[in-house]
Amino acid sequence: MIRLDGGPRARRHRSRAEVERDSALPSGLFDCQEPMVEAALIDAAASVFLQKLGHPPVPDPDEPDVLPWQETVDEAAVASCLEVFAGLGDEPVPDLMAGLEDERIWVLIDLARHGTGVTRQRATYEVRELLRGLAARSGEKRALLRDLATQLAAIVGGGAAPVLFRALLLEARTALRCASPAGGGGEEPPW
Amino acid sequence: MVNGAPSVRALHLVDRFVHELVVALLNHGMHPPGSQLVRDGLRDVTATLRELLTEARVDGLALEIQGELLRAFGRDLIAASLQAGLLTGLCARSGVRSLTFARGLEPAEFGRFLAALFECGTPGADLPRALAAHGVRHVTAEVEPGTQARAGNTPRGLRGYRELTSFLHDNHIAAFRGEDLEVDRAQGVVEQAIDHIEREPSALLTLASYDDIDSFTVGHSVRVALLALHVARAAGVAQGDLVAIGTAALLHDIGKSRVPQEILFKRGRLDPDEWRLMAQHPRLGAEILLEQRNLDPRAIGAAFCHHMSPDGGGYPVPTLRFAPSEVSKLVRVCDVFEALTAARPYKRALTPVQAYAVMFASAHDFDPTWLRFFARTIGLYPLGTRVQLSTGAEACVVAHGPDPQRPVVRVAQGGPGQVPLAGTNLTIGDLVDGEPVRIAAVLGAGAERTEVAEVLRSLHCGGGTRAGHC
Repeated sequence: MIRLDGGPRARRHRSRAEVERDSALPSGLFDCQEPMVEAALIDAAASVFLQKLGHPPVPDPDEPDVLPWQETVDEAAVASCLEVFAGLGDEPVPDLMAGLEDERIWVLIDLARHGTGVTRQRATYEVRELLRGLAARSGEKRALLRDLATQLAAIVGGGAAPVLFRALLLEARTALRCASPAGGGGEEPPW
Repeated sequence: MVNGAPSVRALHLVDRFVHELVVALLNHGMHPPGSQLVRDGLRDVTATLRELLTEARVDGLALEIQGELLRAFGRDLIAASLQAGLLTGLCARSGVRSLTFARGLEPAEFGRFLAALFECGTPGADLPRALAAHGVRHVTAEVEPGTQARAGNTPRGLRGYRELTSFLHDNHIAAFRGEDLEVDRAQGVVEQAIDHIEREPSALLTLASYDDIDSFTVGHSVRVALLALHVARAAGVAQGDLVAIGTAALLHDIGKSRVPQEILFKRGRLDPDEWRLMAQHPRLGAEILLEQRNLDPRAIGAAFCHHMSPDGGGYPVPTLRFAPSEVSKLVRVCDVFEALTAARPYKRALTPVQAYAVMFASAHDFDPTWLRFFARTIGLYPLGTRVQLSTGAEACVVAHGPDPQRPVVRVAQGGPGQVPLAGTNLTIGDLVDGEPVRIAAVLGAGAERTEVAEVLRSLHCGGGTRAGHC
């Protein structure tokens, strides 16, 4: 329930808080500013209600309807933010170069499945080349290959899997065998 | 023109007019003359001109072109200049030093003006003659034959910033047309940005804080790239990898160039079908980038993964489950922070503190380590943030110290409360007139359009025509 009392700024803050709290938007919508549109809509609706009730909103001299705006620093919000900052510590950050090759393989598989035309062919070719390359790099990327083979095996085992997945599963199995310690004896295939 | 300074609203309308002019110019180069986008653009820009002339009580707007800087009413139009590279470039080539747009200019005539301007894109071209040949009577061009346009008091970093936006403009257009991207150019513009950041960390981000009237893909991508570069530098990434990370962040939204414009620029909630199309942009972006030769592969991952959260949420839902790379996780944090702290045609920006509050409350949407490191690096008051001090002076954050509440600010020139500190650097907490100076407010530039009509426009397709394919 949006309260209608207070000035425009106070109403807007409350509206924003209400919308943020009540929003059931999925995380993917997070940067689509939908809550802000909703806040603006609620604010406008509140103004209409006030006008209908015979209480037109009093213009706020501090808040012109055009540029520029200013947002008073909310000491409580700053304090709460500083509390979070204080708890951050100096933890080390991960190596920014980590996970790039793995990500490339996963993305290529997706594009090989969902891409269009030439992109699909190119993605298919590249991912197969990458998997073959992994087979030659003995001992590397076993976790990736195991995860890949497991997921592919589950899909292929479910029946009606695209030919692409069967082919990739074969590549992944081969690479996994080659990547196993001592030339392939030690790795139990995950299928 | 009446005596006295133009109103704040008039200055805002000048910014909007130039922005819509730039958008109309871009659309003119990309779309058929009769297309809806072109017609809407011409209608918007002439409507804004009418509104502006009425507000300023003048019969014409004289737009001065001083090198890369646009001026009107005796003022530098920094925000408008950031996006106006194509306009100033065309004017410079034909020696145009000012354009005057008179009352009575209608959309069709404005279209003919754009055609004449494009025709004069070669050195030595005669714009006044071309305008006459096209029957344009309400736009006049003042030319200084044989002389280079005067260089204005160009803000630091403006050229570098415009290089970034221009690179993105051009590549979005190329992707839209299905042409190859200028991948090789990326390295140069990103290296230049890194160089700027190293020499004067706040310069580009200060400009970025002005750039809030853009069509929210190009300016957004540039700001995301600058944030990512700042954080990656703080994480100790080597120069070569910085270029790759900057390029990845710069191109993360390239897939939007293939989302229909009526969806991309729709003001308001997308319906499920529209949303499905919009949600394709990460995959489309990865496809576009995969087609490019010589592109660092991490750009493909960032384009694909920048809407994926660590808990498996977000989109697209990949064929097989996987965890995004560290670069993609960082780009996601920068992307959301930028989206929250940027103005949009229908919303004002959140302050950084408000944005952090939202992000930490939804921490499962982000990689926690990168979110924390981002906050630690960017701080409560990111570089370039414009603030009002407790003295009444306006200032800009130019450096950070160990205390996140005590950044170093540069006091702006002119305006109330600035004297005698104008142009000096202060650390928040320093004594001024015996009182510790503090940050009283965060300043921004983005209208809060809460009128019912405006909000309704935001909810209906076609209500807004902030086109420009960028």
